[in-house]
Amino acid sequence: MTSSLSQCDSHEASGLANPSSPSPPLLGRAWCHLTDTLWVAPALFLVVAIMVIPSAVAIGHSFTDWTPGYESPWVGLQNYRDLLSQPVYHEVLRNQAFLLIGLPLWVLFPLVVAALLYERVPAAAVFRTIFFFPAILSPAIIGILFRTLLADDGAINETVRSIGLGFLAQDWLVQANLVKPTLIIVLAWAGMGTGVVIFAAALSAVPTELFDAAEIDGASWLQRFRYVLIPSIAHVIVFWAVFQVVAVFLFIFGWVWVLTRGGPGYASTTMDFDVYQNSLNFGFFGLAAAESVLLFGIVLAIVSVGWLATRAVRRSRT
Amino acid sequence: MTARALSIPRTALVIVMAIPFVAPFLYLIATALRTRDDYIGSRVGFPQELTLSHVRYVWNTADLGRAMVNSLITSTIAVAVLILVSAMAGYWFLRHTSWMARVLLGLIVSLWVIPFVIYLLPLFVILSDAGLTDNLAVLGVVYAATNLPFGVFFMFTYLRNGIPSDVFEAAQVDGASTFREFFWIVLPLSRPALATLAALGFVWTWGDLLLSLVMLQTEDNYTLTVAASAFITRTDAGVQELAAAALVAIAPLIVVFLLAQRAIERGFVAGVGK
Repeated sequence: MTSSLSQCDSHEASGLANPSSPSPPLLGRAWCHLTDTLWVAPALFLVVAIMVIPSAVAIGHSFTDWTPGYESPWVGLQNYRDLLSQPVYHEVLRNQAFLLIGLPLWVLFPLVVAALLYERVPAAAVFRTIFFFPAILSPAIIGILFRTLLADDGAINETVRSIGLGFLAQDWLVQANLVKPTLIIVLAWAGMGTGVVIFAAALSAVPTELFDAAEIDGASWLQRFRYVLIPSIAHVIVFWAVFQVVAVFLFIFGWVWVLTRGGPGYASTTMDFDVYQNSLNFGFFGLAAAESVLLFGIVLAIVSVGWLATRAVRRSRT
Repeated sequence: MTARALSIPRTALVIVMAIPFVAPFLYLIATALRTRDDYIGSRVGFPQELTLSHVRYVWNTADLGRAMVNSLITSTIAVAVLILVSAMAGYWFLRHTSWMARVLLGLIVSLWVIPFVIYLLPLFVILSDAGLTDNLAVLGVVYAATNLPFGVFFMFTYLRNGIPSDVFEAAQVDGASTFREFFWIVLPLSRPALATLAALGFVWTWGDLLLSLVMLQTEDNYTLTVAASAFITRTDAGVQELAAAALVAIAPLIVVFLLAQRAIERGFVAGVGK
């Protein structure tokens, strides 16, 4: 272990005092510990100042009729009651739940691609690059492209019409019944690269003998996928699934903002977009604060359950 | 390890799945670079006549040159702060194994579950009261901070798994101070991890829109994503101009990707392999 790394007292496993070792002068040690904390101080200062304190301010203001710059009277749980009694908010929650239908796609697509690339495919490195590149593009950048692709007279509809399948052409981002499925597909596209790289990295640690043996025994590709590949990286698959669920709550804002602005109506408004809209567009700051606290609570619950699930899978393997 | 036979159906499946990841970019490049007549003639066909006029038009009207410099300033500051502060903190957590240090590390790492929208507005109010908004350097530091939960965890994991502890023990026997050890051993040995973190920090900062949109007020300070997205709302912007704006915004990321793809993958292998 790294017990001898503490510089202030080399006989001390940092934090654990060793009574048999002679203590250096107290003042010198205190000074040493003080300067030592300077290594971690910048990180602590930045996350506390920029993430923790503003979040605490938001939580506090969720119990007030918040108007930044003015007096914000205490209203107790009124914001939460208002929020939960709004039909619009129920629609937002339903939208969020609807998007989770995409989870099997978000897990299966990158898993299949990683599996195909793991077995012998010509120019596997080129394919990896192709799948991975979109992962570094943000919705703000790629969204411009997707808007032109998905528009009524956009490239997707043009292509469909030009090959005589015009009945498939739809106004993907404007029709209320299509906008959420479209968003699910776009998210599958955006998450593909990261998923492929994570699964590929996990697979590279799996001995190929497992697959060779299965192949010699006459297992088909599908059988190898189901009975060898999935069990051997089950913990990574569960981890990725949990991450995708969390991402739907944490990182979907950019796509909604660029592609639909939550519309048509509220048909594609997600929780994080609604927080933004309620505060910066409509000026319901207290309500938005309460909404962001609820969102935080949901994310915490998912992460806790997901953490336990990942641990359970990991344990069942060993 | 037996050489696996090349399978035609599997290869075909990979090619089919790759089409949606290649076609949009080909369409984007073609649309941005072809003449108007050519585009109207066949929107999704192969381009016949190329021109830079759309790129030149958006570059001048949306002032994308200045916006690109602003994005570079912000991203560079964000990356510098992110990798230095993460490496310092990772090094501290490597040397401190008490339960309190472990809890502290866990708290920092778990901050990534805080939804961005919860602290966006209070942060803006706080920075605004201090006169720190509309400032590219402050924006860069804010971006660095939002990526620190990942950065600290990543550097700590790399230092713990990627560098043998007898390297540190040898340095201590030689009487190296913490300061010297950090700059002469930790930083040089963690170059692959620093490259990975720098690449990720760069693309995350470069691509973000919301924070820049809220924190920057004057047009002279607009970052590339803000300038490009402001361009979308202009009524005179046609599909070709939008494509040109998107192409300009993506171009620097292509360069970073070509330079750093290996670094990112190396980072993954180092993290998962151990």
